[in-house]
Amino acid sequence: MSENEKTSQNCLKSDIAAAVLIEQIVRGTYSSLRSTDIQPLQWSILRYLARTQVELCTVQYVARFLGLTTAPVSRALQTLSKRGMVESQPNPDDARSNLLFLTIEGRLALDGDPIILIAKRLNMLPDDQRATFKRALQTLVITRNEKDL
Amino acid sequence: MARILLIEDDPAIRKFMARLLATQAHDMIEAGSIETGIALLNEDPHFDLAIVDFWLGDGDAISLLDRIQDDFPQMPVILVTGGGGHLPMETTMALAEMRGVRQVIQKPFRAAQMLDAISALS
Repeated sequence: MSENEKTSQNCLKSDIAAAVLIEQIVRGTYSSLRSTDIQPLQWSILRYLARTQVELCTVQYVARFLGLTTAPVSRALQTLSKRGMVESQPNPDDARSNLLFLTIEGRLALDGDPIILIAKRLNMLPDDQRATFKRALQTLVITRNEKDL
Repeated sequence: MARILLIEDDPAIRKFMARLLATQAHDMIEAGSIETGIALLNEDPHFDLAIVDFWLGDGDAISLLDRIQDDFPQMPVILVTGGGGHLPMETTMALAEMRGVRQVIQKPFRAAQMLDAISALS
């Protein structure tokens, strides 16, 4: 094996190690608190309903926001509804859809949103490291999606 | 009254916004592309606020948001998005807020919602 190949393999190994650490941070946070009861997709839905004006709180708009079809979103909403975190009412402006609302239970669940814990860890970084991290993250997200096209 | 830069590639929305902002005596300067928006910023960056559509004919608004955050960090930005690009809206909103966007408004939006956001930021 040439020196270049060895260097390349070591770089990849180092990148895999970094990826493991990223996964550990996310997994560790999601397994804390009550987040074991709520799946990541369900957290995204709760966050959407908490921040969005009511007329855009329908299954179709939630699916548009997440970039998903309505089927997995409907399933996640059924679970949240069974747990008393989300309720629906007929949409006065569109008979084909229901408006979705967070219940008090849903709002209380968001107090334990694991994303806040990850954000707090980021916030502890010195300003220069935080800025560099965000730039790198932006590049990663945009590059990944362009390559997925 | 605020001096507002609108960067939006849909002529119908630009027309709607011009009428809406005129009701509040705001001064709106419009651009239909990222390139024109950056040119207007280079020419005269004294805007109280920028309203930016995420998906424009000549690309996404990330480079524009980077430019505003780097060179005009005090300028508040309202991002308007209706999805439709190759990134989910959840991702575009997170990217925008990570780049300092103060408020995201989803399409379709109500006139009052836009005016409230402008009033809060300008």
